[in-house]
Amino acid sequence: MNSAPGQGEAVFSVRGLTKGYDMGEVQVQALRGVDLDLYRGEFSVLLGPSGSGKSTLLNILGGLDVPSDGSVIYQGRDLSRADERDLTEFRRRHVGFIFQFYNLIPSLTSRENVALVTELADHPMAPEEALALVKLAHRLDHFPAQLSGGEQQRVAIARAIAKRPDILLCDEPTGALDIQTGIVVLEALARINRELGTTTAVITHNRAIADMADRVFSMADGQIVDVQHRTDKVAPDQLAW
Amino acid sequence: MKSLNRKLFRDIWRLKGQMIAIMMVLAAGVTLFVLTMSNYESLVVSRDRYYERNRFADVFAGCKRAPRSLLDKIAAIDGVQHAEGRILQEVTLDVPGLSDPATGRLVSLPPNPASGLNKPYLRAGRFPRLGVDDEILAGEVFMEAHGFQIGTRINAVINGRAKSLHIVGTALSPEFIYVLKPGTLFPDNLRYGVFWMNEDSLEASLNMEGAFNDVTLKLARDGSADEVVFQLDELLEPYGGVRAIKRRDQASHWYLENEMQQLRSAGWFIPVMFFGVAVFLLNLVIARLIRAQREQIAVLKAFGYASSEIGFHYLKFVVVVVLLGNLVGIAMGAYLGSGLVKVYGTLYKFPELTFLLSARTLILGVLVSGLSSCLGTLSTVRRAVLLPPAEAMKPEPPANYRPTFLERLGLGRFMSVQMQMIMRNMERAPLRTFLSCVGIAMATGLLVLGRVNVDALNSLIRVQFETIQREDMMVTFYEPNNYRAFYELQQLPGVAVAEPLRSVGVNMVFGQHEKQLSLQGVHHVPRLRRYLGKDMSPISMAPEGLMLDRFTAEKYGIRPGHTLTLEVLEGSRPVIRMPVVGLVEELIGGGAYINMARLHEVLGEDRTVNGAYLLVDEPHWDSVLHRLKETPKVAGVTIADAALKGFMDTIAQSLLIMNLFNIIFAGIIAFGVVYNAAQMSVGERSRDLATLRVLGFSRAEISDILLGELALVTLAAIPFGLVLGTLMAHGAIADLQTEQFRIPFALSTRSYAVAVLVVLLSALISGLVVRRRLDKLDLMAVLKTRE
Ligand SMILES: Nc1ncnc2c1ncn2[C@@H]1O[C@H](COP(=O)(O)OP(=O)(O)OP(=O)(O)O)[C@@H](O)[C@H]1O
Ligand SMILES: [Mg+2]
Repeated sequence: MNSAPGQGEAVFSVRGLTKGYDMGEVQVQALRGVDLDLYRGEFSVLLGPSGSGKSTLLNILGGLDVPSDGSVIYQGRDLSRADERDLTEFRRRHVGFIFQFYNLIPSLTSRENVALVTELADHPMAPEEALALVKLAHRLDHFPAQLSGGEQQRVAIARAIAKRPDILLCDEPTGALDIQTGIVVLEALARINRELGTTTAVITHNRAIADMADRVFSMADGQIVDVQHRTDKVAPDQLAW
Repeated sequence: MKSLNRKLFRDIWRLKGQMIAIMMVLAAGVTLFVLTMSNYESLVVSRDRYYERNRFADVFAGCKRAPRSLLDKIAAIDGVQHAEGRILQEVTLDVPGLSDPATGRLVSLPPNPASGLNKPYLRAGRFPRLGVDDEILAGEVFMEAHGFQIGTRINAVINGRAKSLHIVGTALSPEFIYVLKPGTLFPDNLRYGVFWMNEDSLEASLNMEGAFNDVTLKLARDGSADEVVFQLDELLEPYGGVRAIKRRDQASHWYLENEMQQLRSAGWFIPVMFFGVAVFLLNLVIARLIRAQREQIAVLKAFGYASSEIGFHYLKFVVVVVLLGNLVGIAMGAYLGSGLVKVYGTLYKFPELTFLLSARTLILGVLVSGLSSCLGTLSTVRRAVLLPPAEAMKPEPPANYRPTFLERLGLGRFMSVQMQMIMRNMERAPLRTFLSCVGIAMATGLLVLGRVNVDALNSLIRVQFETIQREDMMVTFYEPNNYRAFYELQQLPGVAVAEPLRSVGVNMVFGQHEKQLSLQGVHHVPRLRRYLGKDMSPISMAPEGLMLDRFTAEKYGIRPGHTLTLEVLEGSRPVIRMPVVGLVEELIGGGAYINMARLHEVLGEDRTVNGAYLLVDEPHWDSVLHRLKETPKVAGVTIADAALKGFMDTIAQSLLIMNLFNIIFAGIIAFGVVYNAAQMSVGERSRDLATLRVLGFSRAEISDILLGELALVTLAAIPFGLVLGTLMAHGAIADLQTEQFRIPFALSTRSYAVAVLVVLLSALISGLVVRRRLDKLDLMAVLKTRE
């Protein structure tokens, strides 16, 4: 399933993407002309200093936000021209999100947090199956407050993958975790990418994580300044942290 | 949607205290709505059925004496379906077991009562037999007041002759649902009763053969009451006709209708206030919930939940509160309503008064409470809908605290750290602080409003019976008498002070307005029956000119200086033209007043009297009453204290119950508001408070901060509440002013104290509940979670 870099079908095709925030007197340019393609089944990593526009880009790819200019083509559909209803539909059918702070619903158990999403999907896994994939079969009925940070993040992963999304977007998924737990989470991501062929994009501040990617994008000041194609991917537990 | 609903239920469970508090406020509103509306409808339906079955007339007119042949002409008036002539006569009664004379209103029964108008409804016994001249039917309330059985005999003085009457049955009548002696304030069922007697017996006793002195009409379906009244007046004019009235102005109907309308407007006004408070509390809770759940909302959106689904999710909180509140409110309302209907059943005698809880009332209650709650929270819920998903991922910026107004004034150093935190918190959430104040003020106001009826009634009684009516008894004669009749009363052993009573009926003409009222002769400085000026203190009667009661004056735009024409309706019927020299504050009824000597002069008479006011030494009461009963001239004796006592027994009871309700319901509001404000502060600041605890503050010190804020808000709100309540009370009293009664505005210190006390108590209880939550604050959990 692993497509070689530069080959296969582009799931996302981004051209001339800009995003500005109007802050009254000043204009903040979060993105200034981003071009990029993401290929089916590819695992990519986004690196860059704080404030370089990584989250902004990811949010636009995931249909959480709309660009000021430029186009985002997802499988032939231009997301930059989509309305609120289309974006909701797009997120519902195609995208799984993982956030730095897990963002689980505190009043729902692990199983229910996952079910919350599978109930919306067409061909989801059973919540139990998704949780088993992230090795949490024994924590089905725990509430988030009863889970460790790493466990919470794995629930978040299970929640993101349970609907078998076409793309998985992760914004600093290991940001709040220690090394060991971070590796467990990354292994879960890698496995899903490998076994389900989910196109995955991960934002991180941790350069080491770049070693497990097919491609690494470096951002600075709202632009992609470097793209690395890697052929020597390593497994997460081999990462030099 | 299943998991989202699970979230809903867990969130509701977590917020159950607040939810229940709001639910109770809403339920209180629904309870009152269902209670009052069901009773209103029950009364309307039962009354209308009663009117219909017993053929309550549409038009009523009295006259001196008209021949029965006139009835054909009356029946021929266009729009009249049926006309019935009858005889009405007030007589003095000597009732077994009652020392003072009572008044009976005798009503003639047509030969076949079943086919007539205003049919008495037989409750027990039978109708008087034809040809037996001493059998009567008695009104049920009179019988109950005395505990009389059928078969009791009472003595009446009819046309100057004593006659023993045999009660053979008890009855109700649509005409006398509310039995009130004309000109009195309260029903006095011991001393005033309605009796039915066969027409021929009454005719014979009163020398009224072939004649009638009262006519009642049933209108044809398309008959115009105004036109009929006009023609009827014309026909009766030569026979001493007193202006005809429509059913609308018939005394019993008017009182009943008035009370029912008051019930109905209370049924709208008060519940709507409760719904308002519930909406306000729902807004607070939901706004807070949405703020706390920004990130959850964003995640839901990120995973493809549509904005509408999320909006609906939060609206469901409202829906749950509305549904539960309605469930509780309808159950309570139905339960209390079926109880209240029994109270009304004893108050107004209907043949049957069935409790009716219509689908219309239920639907209306659910709709009004539901719609107001949903619409009232819509804009708050929209905040969740509008939250952009990407935006919501970022944690809320830190709260923007700054030195408070007082600190900026340099007063900071006089305040403790806790005090500063309290002030800053209140300044940071000015809207919430303000709204909490409004809520508490509303509760306070409602309590004050709830007391005004009691206070006003007390003040009415005090003014009427202590300042205006200082006599012990008012004696009225059948006809005007010469002054000797007055002397006779004055000479009775035990009579300390006596004052003559002289009044004549007049037709007042002012511009296009005409009105019948009574013209009262008043001594320069009356000792017993006094008249009040603007400041509610007694005034003296000028030797010249007229005085007029303020209500009538205002109604017709008459001011001091205007000249009135009064056509006297008795004797030689002189016409008086005189300027108005002042206004009189009357609480009951009203009319025109003139100096006594001047009245004799314009009537061309020598000190004629209609009756007298008497002040009687306590030990001689019974003997005076006994002598009065035996005086044929005396038509009636009205005893102020007796009337008052009878009234107080019945009405005061129901007012007290109403008041208890009021206190409970307003307490619910106060509790709901304070409790929610407190819970919200705890929720919002549990992190800060936990941090303070970690830093070494004691439990007592951190609860001081929170409870101090509540105490400040409560104390600040109470004065506004008192003002608000006073204003609402003024409105409510203004609404009660009628042609019959002017209720003086009054609110006692005690009432204000009760309001303050109830609010403080509710605040204290909610403070204690919150204090318990604070004591259980789990430091670690609070500091660990990110919210
Ligand atoms: N809603 C907003 N309003 C104004 N400016 C914004 C907003 N969101 C982002 N920005 C600005 O856009 C720029 C890019 O932000 P973005 O969150 O994409 O950075 P990032 O690369 O994800 O940084 P980090 O690694 O710190 O998360 C920043 O300068 C940020 O201040
Ligand atoms: Mg970021």
